[in-house]
Amino acid sequence: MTKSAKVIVAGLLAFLSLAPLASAFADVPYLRWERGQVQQVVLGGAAAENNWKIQLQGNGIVPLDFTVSEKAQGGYLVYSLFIPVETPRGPYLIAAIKNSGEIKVVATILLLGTDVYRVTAVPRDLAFIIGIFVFITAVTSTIRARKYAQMTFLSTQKIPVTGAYKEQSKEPLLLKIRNYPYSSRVKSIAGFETSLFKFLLIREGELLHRASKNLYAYLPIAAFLGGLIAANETEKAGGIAKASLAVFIAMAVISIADAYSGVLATLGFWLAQLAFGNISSFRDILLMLAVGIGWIGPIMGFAIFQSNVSRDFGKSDTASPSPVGSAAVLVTGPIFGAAIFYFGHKLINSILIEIDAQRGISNLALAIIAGALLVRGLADGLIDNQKLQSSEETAQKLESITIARVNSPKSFLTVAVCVFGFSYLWTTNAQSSALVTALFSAPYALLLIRFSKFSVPSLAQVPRNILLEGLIVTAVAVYLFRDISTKPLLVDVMSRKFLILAGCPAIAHAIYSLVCDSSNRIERISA
Amino acid sequence: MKKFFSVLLVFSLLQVGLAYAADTGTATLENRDYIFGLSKQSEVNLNQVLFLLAGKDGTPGAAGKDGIPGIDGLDGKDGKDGVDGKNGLDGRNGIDGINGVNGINGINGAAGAQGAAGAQGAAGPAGPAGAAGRDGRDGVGGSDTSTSTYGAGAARVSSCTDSATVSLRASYTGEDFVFNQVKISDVNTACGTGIIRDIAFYFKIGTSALHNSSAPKYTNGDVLKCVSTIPRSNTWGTTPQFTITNADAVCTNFTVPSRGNFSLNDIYTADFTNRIGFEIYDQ
Repeated sequence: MTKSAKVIVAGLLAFLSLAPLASAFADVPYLRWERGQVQQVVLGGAAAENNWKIQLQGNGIVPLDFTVSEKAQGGYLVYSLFIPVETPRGPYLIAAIKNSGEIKVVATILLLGTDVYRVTAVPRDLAFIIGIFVFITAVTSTIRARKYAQMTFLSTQKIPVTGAYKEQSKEPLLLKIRNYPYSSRVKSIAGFETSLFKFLLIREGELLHRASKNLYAYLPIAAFLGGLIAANETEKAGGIAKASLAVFIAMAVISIADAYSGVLATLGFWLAQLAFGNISSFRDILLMLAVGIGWIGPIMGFAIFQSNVSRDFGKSDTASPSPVGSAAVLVTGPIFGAAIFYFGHKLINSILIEIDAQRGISNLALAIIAGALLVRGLADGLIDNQKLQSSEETAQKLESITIARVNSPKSFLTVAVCVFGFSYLWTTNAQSSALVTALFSAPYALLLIRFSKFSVPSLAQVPRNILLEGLIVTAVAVYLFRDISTKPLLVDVMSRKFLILAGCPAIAHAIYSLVCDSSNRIERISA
Repeated sequence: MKKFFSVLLVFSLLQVGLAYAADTGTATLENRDYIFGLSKQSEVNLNQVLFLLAGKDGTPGAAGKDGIPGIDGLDGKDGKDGVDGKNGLDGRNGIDGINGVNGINGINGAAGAQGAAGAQGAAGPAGPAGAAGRDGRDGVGGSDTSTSTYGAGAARVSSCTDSATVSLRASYTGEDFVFNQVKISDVNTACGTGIIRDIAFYFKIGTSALHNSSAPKYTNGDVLKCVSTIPRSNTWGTTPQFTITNADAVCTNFTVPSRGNFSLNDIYTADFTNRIGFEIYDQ
C-alpha cells in the first residue's frame, strides 16, 4: 500500500469513528467549568414555566442538584450549584429533568481544577468573610459603651500602658548589651501612643513575661527570623498560593503565645517578600495585611473577648470575673479567634489569583488554633490566681486603660483604604467599591462621634452584650445573604449586591451604639 | 516597630511605583497591573453561564411506520368435538333390475283339425326392420313419481343431423309403469330450422304376456309408432334440447293401423322389448 493510500484510509477511519460523536452532540453546548466555584444555568421560556430540575451528572458521582432562584420578572430562572473542590475532574452532563420525568441533556461540561479563584464566584466564602467582618465591626461598636471602657490587668512588665517609659540608664554596658532584646521590646511598645492596640500588646505579653523574661526578650527576635524563614519557604514552594498551611499555623500559634512576636513575624515576612521582589502591586500589600490578620488577629480577637465578654455574664468588676463569665470566654473566645484565622486566610485566598488545593483550610487547622487559644486562656486564668506571691517579682502593678474612643481617625482611614482595596480587587468596579467602602467604614467613622446634647433616655440604661449584639447583627447580614441567594441573579451581581447590603446592619448597629453611648454619658453627667 | 512598619510600607509603595513605571509599553491606565499584579487572569472561556431559552412543546409528530409483522404464534389447542350432523337426504332410487329370462315355451298342443280353405291372403308383410339403433343412455333414477328412463333403441335420422340422443321417461300409474315423455338431445339445430320436420319413435312389443290388460291398442309382436313435430330450434334448450310429452305425440299401431290412435302413456314399459327406433323426416 502506498503512503497516500494509507493516509486516505487512516483519515476515513478517523472520520467514521468521530462522526457519531459529533452528530450526537452537535446541538449541545460544551462548557469548561472550574470546581470550587458556583456555576449557574439560566433557563427561560417554557423551561421556566414548567419548573425544570437541573442536575450535574456523570463521571461516577451522585448527581448534584442545582438550586433554583425565584422567578425573574423577565420569566427566567437562575439555577446555581457550588461544585465542591473534591469533585473529580472530567466530563459531565447538565441534565434538565421535566415534570414528566423526561430527561434532556442541555450541555456537556469539562470540569477543571480551580485554577483561578474569585471570591465573588463563591458567595458562601464571600458571605463568611463579610459575616466575620460585620461581627468584628459590631463588637467594636459595642465596646464603645461605658461598661467596657475600663480595662485593667496586673502587669509585671516595665512598660506602662499610659505615661512615659523611664529607661534604666545607669546599668553597666555589658548588662545593657545583655538586656538589649528586652529593652528594645519595651522601648518599641512604649513608642506606641496610648491605644487599645498598645494595651493588648502589653497585656498579651504578660504571660510570656511571667513565664520567662528571656523568652519574653528573645521570642520576638525568633519570630522575626521565623517570618523571614516562612517567606523563604513560601518562595521555595512557588509563592503563598502553593505554600503549606503548616507555616501559617505555626506563626499564628507563636502569635497566640505572644502578640508582639506575631507582629514582628509579620514584619519579617513582609520584609522578606519585599526583598524577594514579590511586592509590586497594591494587591501584594493587601496580601501582607491579610497575612498579618491571619497571624495576629486570632490572639487580638481572643484578647478583646477575654477583657469584655466576662462582664456580660456577671458583675462588671474586671478584677474578679465570674465563673460563668470565664467559662463564656473560654468557650466563645477560641471560636472567635479561630474564625478570625479562617477570615484572614479567606482574605488571602480572595486576592490570590492562582490558588492551589493546599490553600483549603481544614478543620484540623482551625482546631489547632482554637486549642492554642484555649490553652492560652487557661494559662491566663492561672496567672490571675497566682498573684505572684512566691515570685521574685515584686514590681507588679495594676495597669489600666480607659478607652475614650475605640479607634482613631488614622485607624478609620486604614480600615477604609483596606475595605476599598479588597472590594476593588474582588469586584474590579470602582463605583461599587466606593459604595461598599462608605458602608463598611461608616461604623468606624461613627466611633469617632459622640452626641453631647442628643439623648434618648430609654436607651441610656439598655444593657449591652458584646456577644449577643454581634451575633444578632451578623445573623441579619447572613439573612440578607440567604435572601439575595434566592433572587434570580448571576453570581457576580449577587455578590456585589450582598457586599452593599451587608454593610447596612453594621451601620444600623453603629448608630444604635452611638445613641446608647451618648445617652448614657449625658445621663451620667446630668446625674 | 512603628518606624520599621513605616519603612516597609514606604518601600512597598516604591516597589509598586517602580513596577508601574518599569514597563512603559504596558503601563497605561487601562493596564491595571499596578493594582492587580501580574498574576494570571481568569480565562474568558472558563466558567461560562449557560443560558437556555426553551420553546414550547411542539405538536406530536406523525405516527411512525408499522413495524415488521411479528412471528406467527404457536398452534392453538385442538377444539372440542362438534355436534353430530343432520341425517343425509335419501339416496336416489336404484335402477330397475334386468327383466327375468323368458320362460320355457310350453309344449305344443295337439294338431287341430284341418281348416277350410282360406281366403285370399292379405298383402305381404313389410320388409324386415332396419338394423338396430345405438343403445340409449342409461336412464336417470326414478323420482317419487316413479318415472323411468329407457335408452335402448335404433335410429334413422334424416339428413339434417348425424346424431340424436333419445331418452324415455316413464311414470307410475299406480299399477304399472307407462311411458310419459321423450327427451331429445344431440340433434343438429338444422332439424329445427327451415322445413318443419317430424320425429317418429318405434316401439317393439315383446312376446311375453302383456301387462296392459285394459283394451290395449297393441298385442304381442306389434310395432308401435309415435310421431311428433320437432319444435323450432330457437325454442330449444341445451340438454335436452326439447321434450315430447303425451300431448305432443300421436301413436299408432304400425303393424295393425286399424287399431286407431293412442297416446304415449298407453304403452306399458313392461310390454316393450327395450328397443326403440326413431326417425326424423320432412313433413
